[in-house]
Amino acid sequence: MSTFKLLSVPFLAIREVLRNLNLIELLELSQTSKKLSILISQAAKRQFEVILDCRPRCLTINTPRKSYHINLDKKVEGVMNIGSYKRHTSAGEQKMTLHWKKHWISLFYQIVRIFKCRVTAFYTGSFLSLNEFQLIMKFIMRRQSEIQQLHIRKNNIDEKFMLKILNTLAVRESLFLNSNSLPQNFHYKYGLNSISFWSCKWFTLNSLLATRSVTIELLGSSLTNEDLNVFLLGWKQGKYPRLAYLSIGSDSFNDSVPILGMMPPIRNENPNPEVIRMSFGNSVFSITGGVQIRRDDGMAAWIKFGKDDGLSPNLMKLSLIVGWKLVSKLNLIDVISELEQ
Amino acid sequence: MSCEEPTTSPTPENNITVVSSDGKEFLLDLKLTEQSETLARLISNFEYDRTDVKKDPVPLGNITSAQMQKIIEWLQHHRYYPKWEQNDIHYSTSFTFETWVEEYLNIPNNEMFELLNAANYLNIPRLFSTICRIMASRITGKSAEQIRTVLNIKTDVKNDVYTGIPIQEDSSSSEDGMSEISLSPSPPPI
Repeated sequence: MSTFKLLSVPFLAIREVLRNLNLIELLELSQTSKKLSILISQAAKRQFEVILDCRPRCLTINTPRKSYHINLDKKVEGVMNIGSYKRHTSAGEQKMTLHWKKHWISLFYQIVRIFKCRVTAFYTGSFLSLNEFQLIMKFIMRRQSEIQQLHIRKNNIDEKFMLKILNTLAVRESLFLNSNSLPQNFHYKYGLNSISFWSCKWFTLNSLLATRSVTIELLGSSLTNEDLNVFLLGWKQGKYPRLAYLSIGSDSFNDSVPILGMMPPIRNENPNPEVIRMSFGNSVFSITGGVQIRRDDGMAAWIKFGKDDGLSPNLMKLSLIVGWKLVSKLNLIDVISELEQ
Repeated sequence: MSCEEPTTSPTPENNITVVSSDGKEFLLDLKLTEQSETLARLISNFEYDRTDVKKDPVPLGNITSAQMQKIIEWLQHHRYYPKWEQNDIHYSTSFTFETWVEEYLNIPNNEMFELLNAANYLNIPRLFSTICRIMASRITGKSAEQIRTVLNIKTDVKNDVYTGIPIQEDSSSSEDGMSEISLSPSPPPI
């Protein structure tokens, strides 16, 4: 049987053919020729969203109805496994494979370009090399001026490059940084829902007072007990109504200056302490053995201050969860923040 | 879907004559022409649906008699089908076709290609969409190499498969390549 010359038919017909193919089939087709990949790009009416998550090595493409999760670990050489799901459900719908022989970053480029995708979130992970990170960031910065979520947990990023990222890309929802490469005088205005900064000596009391985030996580800051008192007094008076979670670790904390009139350590000494838990976005936060305090308007919160129970036992840390008590089951208490009500 | 076909007796009042590119005349029931947006608009513009208007033969310079014969077969089969509705964004692709359609389109690819162009020219959306779905069904589930074979695509992508980190953006789909493509290609020689 003779072959069908797809490229010879009118564009209207090509567009109609493409409309009948799913995203993965279009990606296969885009590899056949440069002309076809351009036609696919022209025919793509809607902009999709891409989330590059290098923690579980996953590339997610969100279309209005479906999510495609591309596993970046090639179990079989040249083949990538994909699960497609209906949006907003985790139930598996369809397993597919994509033939892709090149590096996975080329696939990321191809997807973004062909489907005119916005990269809405980029999370670095341990398997991502510094070189790969820079390539991806440069690619994103060339194509867009903002991103919803940017989580950079890499070390040894060049100071100039890190500053360029923060100056080029406006982060809209959450910014997580391992910021040891930022200068001491770094100043950044945070209008974000969630921030999480590690190695943030540059984060001063003024930075904290200017922050209106819902969740704040600071590790390796230079904040002091006095700084905490200034901020927490403001919080008690209702200056930070959005705040739902605060966690600060600092080398400058000590156990000789009281916090909100309470001498450190501040913790519930009950041998079977309650676990207070709240979630925001995709993150879950918890405090075990916190002490309940209240804002002046009556809103409850649980605070804990002292030596960290976790990985850094010598580090002094403050944790605070604010919210309405929702469920009390055994010792686990879920709270809901004002923002989510 | 199947529809009962009531018997009709064609009369000059409810017919028009179309002439194919090779000069053959076809008498077409006006009811059939409703499926072709091109013909329906022409009939409406010239008021050929009125009995007191003289109907000149309509030349279809882009359609051969063989194609016209095939198209009339399609129009006859779908005579009493409901009007074609354009699918919305929630359209879900189906590669299942009724038996009649499978037999109708069991033709060589070059004929399918001509039929697609004719359906496009006459603007018969049901036929156009069906052929496009047939074409899509030949792509689905195949790798790039297999698709190249099926669609006779001569690749312009470099074959060197470099699995290392891309030094720079792969230019295989660069927007700069736009000029290489004509969006209204002329039909291939028949």
